[in-house]
Amino acid sequence: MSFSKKFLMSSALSLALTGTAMAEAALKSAGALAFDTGNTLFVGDGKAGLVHAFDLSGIVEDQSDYQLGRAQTFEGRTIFNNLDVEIAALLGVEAADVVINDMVVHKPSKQVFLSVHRGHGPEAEAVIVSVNQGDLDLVDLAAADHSSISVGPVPTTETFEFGQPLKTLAITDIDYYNGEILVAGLSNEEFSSKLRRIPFPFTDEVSTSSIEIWHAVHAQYETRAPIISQTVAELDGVATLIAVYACTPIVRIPLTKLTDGAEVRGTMIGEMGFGNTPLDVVPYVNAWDGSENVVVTNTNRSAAALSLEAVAAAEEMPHGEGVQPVFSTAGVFQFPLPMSGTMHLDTLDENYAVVVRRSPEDTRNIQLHTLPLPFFFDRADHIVEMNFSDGPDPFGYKSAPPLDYN
Amino acid sequence: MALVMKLARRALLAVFIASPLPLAADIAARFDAEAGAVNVIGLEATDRKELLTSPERITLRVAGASSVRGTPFEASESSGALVITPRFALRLGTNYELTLDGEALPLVLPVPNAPTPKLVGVSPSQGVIPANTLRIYLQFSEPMARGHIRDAVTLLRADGSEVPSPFLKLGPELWDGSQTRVTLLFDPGRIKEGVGPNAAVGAPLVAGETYRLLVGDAMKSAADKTLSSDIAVSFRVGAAVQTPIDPSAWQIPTPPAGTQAPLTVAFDRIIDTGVVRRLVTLRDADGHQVQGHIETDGGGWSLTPERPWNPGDYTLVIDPELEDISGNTPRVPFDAQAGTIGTTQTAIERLITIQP
Repeated sequence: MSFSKKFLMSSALSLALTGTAMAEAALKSAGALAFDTGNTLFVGDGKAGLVHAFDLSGIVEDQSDYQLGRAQTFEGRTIFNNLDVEIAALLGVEAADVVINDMVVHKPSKQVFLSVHRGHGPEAEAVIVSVNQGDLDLVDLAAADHSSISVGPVPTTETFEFGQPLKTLAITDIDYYNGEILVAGLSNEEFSSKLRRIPFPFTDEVSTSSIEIWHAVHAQYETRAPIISQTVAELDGVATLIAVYACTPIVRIPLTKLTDGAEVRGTMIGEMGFGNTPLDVVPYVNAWDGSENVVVTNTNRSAAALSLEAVAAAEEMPHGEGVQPVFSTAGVFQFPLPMSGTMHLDTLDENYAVVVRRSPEDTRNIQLHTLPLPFFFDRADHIVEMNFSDGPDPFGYKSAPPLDYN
Repeated sequence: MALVMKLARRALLAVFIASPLPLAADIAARFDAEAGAVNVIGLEATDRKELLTSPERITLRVAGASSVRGTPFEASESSGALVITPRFALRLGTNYELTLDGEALPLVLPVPNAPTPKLVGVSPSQGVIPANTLRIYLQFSEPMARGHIRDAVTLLRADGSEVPSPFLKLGPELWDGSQTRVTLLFDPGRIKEGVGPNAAVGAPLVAGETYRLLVGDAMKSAADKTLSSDIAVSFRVGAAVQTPIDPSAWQIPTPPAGTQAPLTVAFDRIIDTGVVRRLVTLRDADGHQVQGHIETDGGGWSLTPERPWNPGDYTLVIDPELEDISGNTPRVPFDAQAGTIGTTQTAIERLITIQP
């Protein structure tokens, strides 16, 4: 009987797709993710040179009952420890064979979606996994209405060897704004600086406009560079692209300047510092003071918040004869945020963000964890006097009842 | 519950006899590589039926995994066996366990026999490369696994010291579709004039110095085989190339009409070997692309035509997006003087006349 009991506990978590014919996978790879304002999930598929759009109406599940933490006392919630191990179990491989490429939140339902590769080779399967009431679901993309658009090169016989394209585009970011998507990426051949602006719903005719982006780094130089991550925000009522480049400048470009074939010079308003590559630019509102901001996460340093007011008002970086080189962060004011080990970030609602991160206590533990806004700060992650039993408690956190999650 | 009792009794029996073999011959899980399925043999028909009507009593997991979660599958019946067809193909070389009513059956998958990967090419292959080189391609003999470049590839100075962080730290690695060729992109911030990283820590390559690019055995193939051995490629660094590509300076001797001798082009610098295959083409007098075998080492380009050359005009068409290994194009250098960025999007053409 003990066998039977143990079995019941473990089997409750297994998924049996009895009788369901699995449609051929639409995804050759799954990288950058974005949602429109409705239920459409965009998936960057660099290997196929496509951006896919899946209508997840009827698939997304409302998560508003799921408790995210206690923002009042700066407490986040660990939704998963060892997220890679849990996804590996779902996919039937060892954890080392799982790569979590991106994460996005479907804002209306607060549901988290992850793009995942099963394996590291060219035959790695690409899947989308969702988080449902603290559990993992495989998203059945075959059940979703699907469309896609090419962002890759036009294939010719010269580009194929062993039937595989030599040129690929690593899609680093997708953003939806007002009926179109903006796609940033880095080619493995040209040092392309093309930003693709694609109307959505996709049209039959190829409607991609690509724009060459330069940025002025100095009075004497303008340089071509691919955007790694971006967001669109309204600055003084003007829709503006805020972009970060691989060589770490922050650049501001009014959307109206980005017309097909244009060679646009972005206004460099900041420098994120060397030895580092930006990961994500995520907009958020500070509910405490109502200010609008973006947070920039980085590969090799913690995150920084930039207020949109400051971004709008920022002067172009000083340049001209006699200007000394910029050694570290500079330009628009960057408010440092205590988020080390962040791999992916998005906001859930006005009170919480969610991160895939390396645990501050054990970097082998990849967590899915919520962080209270507006400081992206979980008290438990840090050595804070308020956490000590005999430390001060100016905000009365210790009198708050212990958290009991659903 | 009848099955549980039977399995439990057998397990007890197995403990007492201290030999699992008779039991293994009784109920066992076998991997059918052709079907990609697991066949469970030795189950009685009533037990199979019971399991098929409640497949939640079956779990398929990687053996020893710390998660209790199972991977999805379809369950069916065929020739007296319970057939478990996993949603995701089981990995060769990984040990699984199939649990029926809490009783785990081991499932050992054979280790695949995969070749040892080798580094078969490095581009640019020239002995001297510009100080502002932007890209290096590594070509492997086998499809490789992503995720190892940062640990496996190092750049060493002549004195053996390591150049710190010479390559761009980008999340996704830049592989081609077959994952046999990877692009190493020098951190563009280290190469560009006037940007922070260049000003703060300088360029990764210094003219006049000699370097070794070391590809270590942390590099693994997609089939999890490590590189045959550490491989070092030496090169010397020359002056930076900061001018636009100049196709008018290319040397193009014309092959004789009526032959299939290759048309060769000697470039004015080292052109990117990846881009050149797509962005330099030869057209005949009617504007059709001349088909043939293309070879390039970046220093030159040759096309051996499928049919003999006709006397008359051919046009070498150079796409304005063509790049040299430092990221300069025919339109503009990588770092342009302010206000000098060319706006031409039209291809550059070189007329080649083959004499009768």
